[in-house]
Parts: sequence; C-alpha cells; structure tokens
Amino acid sequence: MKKLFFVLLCGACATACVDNDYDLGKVDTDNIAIGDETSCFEAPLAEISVSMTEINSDNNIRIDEIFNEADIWLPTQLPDQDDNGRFVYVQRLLNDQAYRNDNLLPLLIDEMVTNPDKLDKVADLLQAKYYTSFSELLPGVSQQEFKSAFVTVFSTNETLRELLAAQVRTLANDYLATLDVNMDDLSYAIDRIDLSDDVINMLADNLDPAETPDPKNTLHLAGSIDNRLPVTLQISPSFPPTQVIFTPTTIAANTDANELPETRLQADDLRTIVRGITVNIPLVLEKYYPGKGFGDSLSEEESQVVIHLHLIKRGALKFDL
Amino acid sequence: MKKIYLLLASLLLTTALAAQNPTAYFMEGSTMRSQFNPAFAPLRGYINIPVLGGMDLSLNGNVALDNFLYPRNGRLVTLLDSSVSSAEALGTLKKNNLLGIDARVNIFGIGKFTKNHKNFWSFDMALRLNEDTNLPLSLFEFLKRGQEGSIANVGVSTESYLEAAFNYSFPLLNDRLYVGIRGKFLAGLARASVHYDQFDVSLQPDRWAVTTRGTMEITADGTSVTPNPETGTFEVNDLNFKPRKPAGYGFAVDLGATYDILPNLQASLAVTDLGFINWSKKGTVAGVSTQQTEFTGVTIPDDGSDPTPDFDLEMLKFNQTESKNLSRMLRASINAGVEYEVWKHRVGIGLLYTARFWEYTTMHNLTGSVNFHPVRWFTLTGSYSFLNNRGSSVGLGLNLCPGWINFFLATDLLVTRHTPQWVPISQSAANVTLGIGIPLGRRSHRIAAYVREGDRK
Repeated sequence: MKKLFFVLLCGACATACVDNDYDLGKVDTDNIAIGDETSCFEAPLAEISVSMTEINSDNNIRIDEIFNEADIWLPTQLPDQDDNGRFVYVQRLLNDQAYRNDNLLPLLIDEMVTNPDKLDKVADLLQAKYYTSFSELLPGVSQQEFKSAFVTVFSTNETLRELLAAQVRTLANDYLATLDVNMDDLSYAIDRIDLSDDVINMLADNLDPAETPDPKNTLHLAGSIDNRLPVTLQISPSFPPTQVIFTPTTIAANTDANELPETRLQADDLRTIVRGITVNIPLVLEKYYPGKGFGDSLSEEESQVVIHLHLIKRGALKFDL
Repeated sequence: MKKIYLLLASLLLTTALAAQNPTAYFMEGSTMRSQFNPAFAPLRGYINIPVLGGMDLSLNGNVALDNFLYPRNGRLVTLLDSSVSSAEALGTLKKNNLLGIDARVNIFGIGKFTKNHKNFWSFDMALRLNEDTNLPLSLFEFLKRGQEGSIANVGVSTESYLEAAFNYSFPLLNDRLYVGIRGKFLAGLARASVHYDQFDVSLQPDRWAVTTRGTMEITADGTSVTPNPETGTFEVNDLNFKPRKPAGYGFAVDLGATYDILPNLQASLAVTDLGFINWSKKGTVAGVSTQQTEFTGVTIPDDGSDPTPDFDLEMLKFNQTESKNLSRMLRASINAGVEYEVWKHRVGIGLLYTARFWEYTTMHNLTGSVNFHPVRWFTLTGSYSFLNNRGSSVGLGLNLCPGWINFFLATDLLVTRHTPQWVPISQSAANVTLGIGIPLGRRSHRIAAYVREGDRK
C-alpha cells in the first residue's frame, strides 16, 4: 500500500509539473526579428557621381559655359546675399524684368563707371560679340578700335555714356532674360544592386501597409547630396519603374551633405529597385553665385554633384527560419 | 544573414538532453556509482542488461529553456520573436551562455567482489558522448537589437567514443581507506568542433560590413570532402562519411579513494576521465572560414573595373586546411564528497562538490543530499544542487537491489516544472540515470551494518 502511495505521489507530482505552455511541439518561429519597434537600421544603397560634362542645358550647353557671359553682365556686388555669398535668383532673371532692370543692371552701369576692370571686361565682350550694336553710337570705329573707343567715351563723355549705358542695359537684359538654364534631366540606369535576397527579405518582409495609421515597421529611401557647384539646385529624383519620387528639395551651392528628405518605400519598391531601375534627376537652378566659379582647379570629369542614397528601416528586421 | 541563424539553430539543436547525476552519487547499491569514484562499489556483484544496464544523460549549463522560449498568447516563441522585447530577452542571459551534454550508455558491464567481499573488480563497455556549446551574449545582442559590435568565442565542440574500462578497488589501513583505479581504453568514433573567434559586424549608413574568422574540424573514419571546384570551399553538406573503424585511440584513468574519518563519516575524492584520445590525421577534415564582406552601395556611373560583390555571408563555407593528428584531452571531472550516517546507517546526509572541465569553461556543482536506506536493498535519495553558485535542481533517486534484480533510477526532472517532452523549463540542469542489472556473486562487506550471517561466502 505504501509503495502504491509512493508511486501515485510521484506520478501526481510529475504530472502537476507539466507546463503545457512550453509544449516544444508548438514552437512558433514565424515572427523571428532582429530589433524591435524602436530599432532603426540604415543601409547604403547607391552613390551617384555627376561630373561637369553631364550637367547641360536642354540646348546642350554646359553649365559653366552658360554662366560665362552672365558673369560679365552681372554686377560684382549683387543686391542679395546669404551665407554662401552674393547671388542672383536664376528664375527671376528669366521671368522678372523689374528684377533685372531695377535691381541688377543699374548696379552694373555704376560698377562700369567706378571699376575699370569691370568696364574692361564688358568692353571686351562688346567688342567680341556685340560690336555692331554700337555702330550708330560710335560711328566709324572699327572692331579692332572698338574697345579702346568704348572705354574712352564711357569714361569721359557723360552725354554719350548715358546712351552707351542704355545700350549695354538692353543687351544685358536680353541676354539674362534668355539665359539657357533649362537643364536636361540627369538619367542613370542601374542594372542591379548586389544585395542578397536574405538581406532584402529582412528589410521588406514585415512592412506595415501604406494605409496603416502610425506605422511602426516602415522602409524609407533617404540620402544626402554633396554639391560643389556655385549654383543652388532644386532636385526631385525619381526611380522608374517604381513610383518612388523625392519631394523637390533645395540643394545649397558649395555645400556637402545636403539632406534629401525620406521618401517611404513599400516592399515591391525595394524589390524593383534592386532588380534594376533608372534614376531620373530633374534639375532646376535656383541661385547662382558669381565669382564662386565653376572650379578651374576641378577637372571636367571630377564629380561636381555626388548623391548618396541609403535605406532606412524602422522597426525590427524580419526573418523566417 | 540567414547563415547566422542556421549556425545558431544548429548549435542549439545539437544540444539535446544529456554528466554525471549528482543525485546518484550517494545512492548505495547503484552499479553505476563507481563511475563517480572508482573506489566505490555496489552492494553486490552484477551483470548488466545491455544498453539498459546503465544510462546516464545529463544536460548542464548556465541557461535554461525559459531563457530561449517564451509563451505568448497561446504560442511558444523564441527569444528572437518580435513580441519579446530586447530587455526581456537579454536580461536573463549571461555573458557566456553555456550548454553542455554528457551521455553515457553502458553496452556491457560485469562486476564482482573477490572472496573477501571487499575487493571489487568490474569491466564495462560504454558509449560516451560529450558536447558543449558557448553562445556569448554579444551574439544575442546583435540578433536581438541589431546592434553592431565584435562577437567572439562562438562555438560548439562534440566528441563520441567507446570506452572499455577495467576497475579495481581495495581496502587499506584496516578498511578505513579504499582506493580504486579504473583504466580505460578509448576508441574514438567521431569528433567535431566549430569555433568562431571573430564575428565583427558594422552597420553604418554608408557601409555594412561583416568580418568573420572561424575554424572547423571533423574527425571520423572515412571522412572526406570534395570542395566546390569553382569556389574551392566546402560546407558541412559536402562531407562524406564512411566509418568502418575508430578514428582515434586513447587512454584514460579514473582515480579515487574513500576514507572513513569517523565510523559514520566518510570522505571521498576522485578524478575521472583523466586522459586523451589521439585522433588520426587520416580521418580528419579541417577548414577555415575567413570572410570579409562589405556593401557600400552601387557606384553610378560604374567604371566597370571593380564589380561589387554580393553581400551574402558565407561563414559556413570553409577553405580546406591541412589535417594533422590531434590529441584531445577528455573532459575531466573532480568529485569530492562527504557523507555522515546516522540512525544505525539508515539515514545518510551527504555533500558533494563536482567540477567538470568543459571546452569553454569549468562548471562547478555543489549538491546536498539526504539518503534513506532503511534496509540494505532499498535506498531513496533526495538532493538539492547549486549550479555555479545558484540554486538549481531538486533530485530524487531510488535504488532497489533485492536478490534477483538491481535497479536504480535518479533524476532531477520529477519535481521541476517541465515541458510535456520532459525538458526542464527554468532549471539549467537535467539529469537522468537509469540502470537494470542482475545481481551476481558475493555481497559487499564494506558496510558493517549490511553484513548478514546468511550472506554467501
């Protein structure tokens, strides 16, 4: 009887200690994850280097050539200034006559009166390109004699100076109003991005649907741009065939690490991107900083704009065993 | 990245249930007791029933099942599940998370007392399996938090061998001192080790990089490998095994003694598994895996001169290295015990200290034990063990040795919370010792209280 009791006691004890919550036959490995809701992972994706030779107007004029003549027509002391220096609003040059005639060109004429170097540069340009426009104001002056005559008359003859200045204003206005700054879109084809399927799945497998309010698991494309050009740009890269597009973003001149705001990706977007895409980058010139130059020291092939793209994964990385 | 999980899973899976069960140490009459200390002897000679004659499965470590599995809304999930917070998962883990297995299966065993009923000899053949794994906390920090850093000392080591042992114990100093020695001839069946001493992960916005350095060695007769002709590397799947004979031979000894300090107070000390196996070069395949992978994104326009490699971890792919003969020490143990008998040898109170030298660490175990043996053919033992200075397990043991059978069972699984599959949940140790034999020959006269006039001469 005692033995039976002992056996029953052991059996009862053993049974009582079974915890069915830990049934090893029901281990669930479907939601294996690295990190948690608060995690944030960033992964490099692409680096796009744009050289001077690739930044052209839609008439195929290189960006530095576009501004060569504009540098002469624009006064050295521009009325607008920011941390980068004195600048002109490129789009207002094209579309705002008052801006040109009232803000800029009077300063040009004043500088021609007070600054012999500026007068000399303008006279060189007129001699080379606009000699015929002054045939009535300076009759009998040959092209070879033009610069000397123009400088002498502009400096000494106040009556004629006004007439010459008016013609200069007209020529400058015409040039600046038609500045060839409608830029060709930059376009690059990426055959594929060498991230393994494992990595892609970890990034893309557990994303919250687009309509989820206050999503925790999201994927974003973000980046930064190094801009060595003396031009402030507005860009909005897109990545066909995906619908992914960055909102138009202003990229400051002569500044590294301009931030590209995050744009959200869905899983299909990422899978498409790594299989191969085209990167289209429309450029709009916003500000031009004369005198900052297009870098004589920089070779034509040297990158003027470098776009760094990376992925940001918020929330855990998903992995199925 | 998937390879990391496969490695982790394989390390964990190889650690199944399986040392020496401290509950059985003071269990008089158990034929397996001499495995703790060759100076010990059962209460009578025996011949074991093959396989069932003595099985000892032990799992020891410093982590338990509930460090890795968590119930969540009717599901049982791993610590890597998204529903388990980093703080919860990592809070219970140690700097080095150790799991070790010892398994011993007696194939054949026979033992007898000599004419004086005190000198005892035995011969046993047994299959032995040892395995130990180390998973450092930094590995889980990476997996759980995605936290970059340097991970080192990840590895698993296992070996299996046949043991043929002859044991002899005898009294000295007017029976106060018993000395025992067991000589073991060892035939190595197989061994394997995979160890990563470097696993550096960098997860920067402009650069993902992984640097790994690992080694692997597998020894078994007829082992060969055919590396991939394109890459020159091999994986575990590429190994071929055609075992026909042992892949190594060795020798070991167990040394032990018991000393009666007082008539009712006995101290015991033993060193077991002091020896080595020399694994042959012929059956060894060795490899090294050195990976340096980084991804910095694609460069556009691509000058085409430097193709970007796939960011794919191939840390389980190895370049074959020259094999060589290798001598490996066994996992030795030190067992030191003291037992005080009261009530005319009906109740014993014991204390046991065990140190076991693993590949990655030394595990210490202190066990307190109360042993009831109201009659000489029956022993009931209860024990409580402290593993590595922390409370761990309650064990129960039973030994029955009437005239026709010798049966013993000891485990610390009975009163612990366990899974339906009998795996302890919160306890970091699991021990099961079981044996059935047939009594044979003379009874022991080592314990005066058990000597009867009717015992066979």
